[in-house]
Amino acid sequence: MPQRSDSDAELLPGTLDLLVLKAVSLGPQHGYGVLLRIEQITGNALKIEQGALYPALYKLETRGDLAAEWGISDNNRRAKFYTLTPAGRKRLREQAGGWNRLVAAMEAALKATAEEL
Amino acid sequence: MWKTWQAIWKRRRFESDMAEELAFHLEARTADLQRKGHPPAEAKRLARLELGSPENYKEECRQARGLRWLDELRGDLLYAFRGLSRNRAFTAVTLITLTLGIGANAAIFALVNAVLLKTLPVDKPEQLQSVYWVLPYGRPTFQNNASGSSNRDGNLRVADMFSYVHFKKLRDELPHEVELFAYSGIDRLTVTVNGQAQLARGLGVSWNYCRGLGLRPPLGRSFLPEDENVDASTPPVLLSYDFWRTAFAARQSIIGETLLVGPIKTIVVGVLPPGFHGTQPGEGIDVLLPLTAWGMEQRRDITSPRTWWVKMMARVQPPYPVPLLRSELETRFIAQLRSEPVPTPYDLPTIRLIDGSRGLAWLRDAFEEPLKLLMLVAGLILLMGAVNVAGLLLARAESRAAETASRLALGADRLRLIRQHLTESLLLGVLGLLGGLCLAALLQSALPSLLAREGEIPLIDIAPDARFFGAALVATLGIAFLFGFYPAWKSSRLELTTALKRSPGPRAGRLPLGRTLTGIQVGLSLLLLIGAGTLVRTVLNLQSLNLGFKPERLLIFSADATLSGYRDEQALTYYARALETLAATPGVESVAFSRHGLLHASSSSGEFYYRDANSRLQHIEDAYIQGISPNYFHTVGVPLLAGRDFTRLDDRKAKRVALVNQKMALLVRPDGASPIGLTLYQNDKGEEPVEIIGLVGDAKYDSLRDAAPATVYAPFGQRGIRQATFSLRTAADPLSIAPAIRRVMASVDPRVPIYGLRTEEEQIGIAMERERVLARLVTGFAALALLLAAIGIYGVLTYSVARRIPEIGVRLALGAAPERLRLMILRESFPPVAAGLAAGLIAAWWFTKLLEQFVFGVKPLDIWSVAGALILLIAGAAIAAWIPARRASLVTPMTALRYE
Repeated sequence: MPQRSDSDAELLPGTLDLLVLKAVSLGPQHGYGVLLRIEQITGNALKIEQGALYPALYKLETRGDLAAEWGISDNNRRAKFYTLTPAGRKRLREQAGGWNRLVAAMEAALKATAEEL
Repeated sequence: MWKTWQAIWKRRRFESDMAEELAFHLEARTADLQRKGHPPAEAKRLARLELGSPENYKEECRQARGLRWLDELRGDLLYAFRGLSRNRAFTAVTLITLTLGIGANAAIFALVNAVLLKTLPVDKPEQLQSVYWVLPYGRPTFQNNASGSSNRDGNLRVADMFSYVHFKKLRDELPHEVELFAYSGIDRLTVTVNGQAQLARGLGVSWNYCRGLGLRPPLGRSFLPEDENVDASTPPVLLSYDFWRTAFAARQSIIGETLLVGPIKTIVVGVLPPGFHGTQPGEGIDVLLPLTAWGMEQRRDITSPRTWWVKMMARVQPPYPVPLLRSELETRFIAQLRSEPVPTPYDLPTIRLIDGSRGLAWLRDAFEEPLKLLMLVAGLILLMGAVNVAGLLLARAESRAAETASRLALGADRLRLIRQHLTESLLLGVLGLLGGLCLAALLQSALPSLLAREGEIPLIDIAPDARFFGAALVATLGIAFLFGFYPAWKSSRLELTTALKRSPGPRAGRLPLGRTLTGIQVGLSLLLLIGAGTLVRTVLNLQSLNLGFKPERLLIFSADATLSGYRDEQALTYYARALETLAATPGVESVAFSRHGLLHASSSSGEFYYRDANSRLQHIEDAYIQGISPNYFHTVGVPLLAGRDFTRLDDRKAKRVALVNQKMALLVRPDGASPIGLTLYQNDKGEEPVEIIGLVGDAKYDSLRDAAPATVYAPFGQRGIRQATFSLRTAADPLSIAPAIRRVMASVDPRVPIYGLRTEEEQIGIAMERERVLARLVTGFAALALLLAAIGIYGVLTYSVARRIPEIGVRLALGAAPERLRLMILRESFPPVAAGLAAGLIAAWWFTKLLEQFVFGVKPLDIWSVAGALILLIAGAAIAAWIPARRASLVTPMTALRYE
């Protein structure tokens, strides 16, 4: 397991897929672009293991949630661009819904005080 | 699945894409880091550091794409290949075992497939239905003159013959979705090719036979409706593909030529497609005639609704329901029967349809049971082979325990280990399969002769098809999994600490499973040996039967002058002339002929009545009749006990006379008095009297197994004769004068071919062909089983000795005598062998019960078979155990120490 610093929030298992889907849903991106966008939309609060990104991308592509195509990057290099497929969009919706329910439940649980019970 | 295949095909692309993508990432990241102020070299290093080990991620990417199993499979296969080539003795023994086991199974299955499973080589065979009629058994029937087959099914009689008249009406009345066609039984006839008469197998068919079967002649045409006209002067004829090739050298110009079929002049109109041998698998056909011409050639009354001789089949086009066809046929058929004037009332039959996709075949009826039995035995052999291989694998897994333990300790995945072992088993299985298929291919040409009947090898299509290969593959994979799984599973469940200690304790060498397997093998081979003994004894019993005649130095052959155009009296003259000429041939001591050859599986039964003491007419059940020439009894060696033999003067003008055998005499004179002078009547009104003029000894007639039947012998001159089987008592080896006999018969009339020229002893061999073949095969299998069991015992003990060498060394050093050591090892084999023998004996009881219908004069668990099998098995086991035991006694303390 790679080392992590204490100040960064730990990435919960399964959340990387959701983050990747979200990042790609904002527009087609190459792998490095996905990384930058995740850092951007999470406000750098989550530490993403860079290498772990690629297996996640490949998995999502094999599963049919992402489509990949070779194109030209901003700096005129050949790069592999990922776009969200309809199946991926659907999965993003479902997982986001599940995540929100989990967060709400956790929040409610952690706010609970002895008097409320 | 598709994605995986794509992944495999695009493997190379995938790897380079992945490399490029990661390279792009590094480059972009380095550029970013440089922009943030890192010096170029430092930026590059940081980017690499952040990404981590690319190989690691690549591997995870591959796994995400479903490619990992492929890499692992390749690895496992390589590992298995390496393991097998390193351990040559193990590999050789395993592969020989599997090759023999799989080969035996493939060979037998090829027969099962050809005889029991394959469909007719025609268009959409599943649409075909065979038509039968059914009556309660023993009820009077409505035919005058029937020729066909009828079988007993419980208390029902199921028969396949109809009259041509009925068939024609039914064909016209049925809806167009149903093509009803008919054909006759196959019969011998002569075809004159280049002036030389030769025997051929002919079949009469309705004109729509080819259309009904969906056969399109590759040359010429098939029959047309007008070909069935009764008054056609030169009927058309179709040739089978094989006959066209062998008799006419595949000459295209044959179409339109005239051909003499029997006495009939015909015109060749077409050639049937290759591979088609009629709808009765096993029985080849050479020429096809229209039913009408065929019926007339066979002198059948084709216009009579009471002459039943055609078989019917229907092709039913799908939406039309088969049950509807059955009821349609039944109503129309019964309506027809009702409209006909009949002398005596009879029950009306029902119609039964039977799936016709595989044709109808005596072959299937005769060999279904023996083939199933052989398949079972072959399966047992394969199972034993698998048990041996499992034992070997297990032994090897144990000897590899240290290696496995190290791998497990280093973090190998247990599941992966199991898979690795299974891959090895599958590889062994597939190699064994290849060997087995080669073996089966070698056996292929010999296989159909196992099904020989009357010395004729049936024409069966034994070529492998998809079902054959499918079954072979499934069986092999199944068996490979069976013998591979347990050793694989077991080796992955090692206790690390004990396995890593180098020297196994004495307990470790015992291999309890190996012994159980040995026991099973011993049991199986005992069962097969007992079965083989029972079958061998059956053959011996059949060989030593009292036949009632003397088969030594007896040469036999058959001829049918009526096939070459001789009619009644002419035929009698021909046979008489043949007798005279043969009698004058040097080397022939005595000659005679009979309507049916001895033990030729053909017979005639006669209807006889006699007047009892109160002069009431009594019917004789089950009397056989045999038409014979004078001098018959003297020639075949049946003793004349009283009265006189026939002479040439007993012809149609003289008084009707007969000789009877002792069985028959007891039926008409139960008191045992001489039957000579008594009169037999041939109908229930006391007409057609026949005087008994002589008494002869009982002799077997058509069948070897059945006791001699009550037989009436009648002179051929008074009964007329079609086909005759000649018997010649020769002075020396009968076969030495066979060429002379052919020449003599050709000199009598070259247009009458002779067939079945052989010695009577060969004929007896043919009559017991099935028993002999079965005995030979089961004996072969039993020998194989014994060998496998011996290898099993040897393997287990050898392994045990190898494991116990340190212990043996210690014992030696402490002064144990070599004999004691030998005994110690030998004793290890006692419990499994004894347990196997006990279990095998119980199983053999069941097995010999199963064999009962093939057995003659031997009881289940026959004492001689059991004793013989036990002796063989114990001797085999002793030899197999002796070798490793001796090796143990030859160990010296020094070698034992070096082992440590």
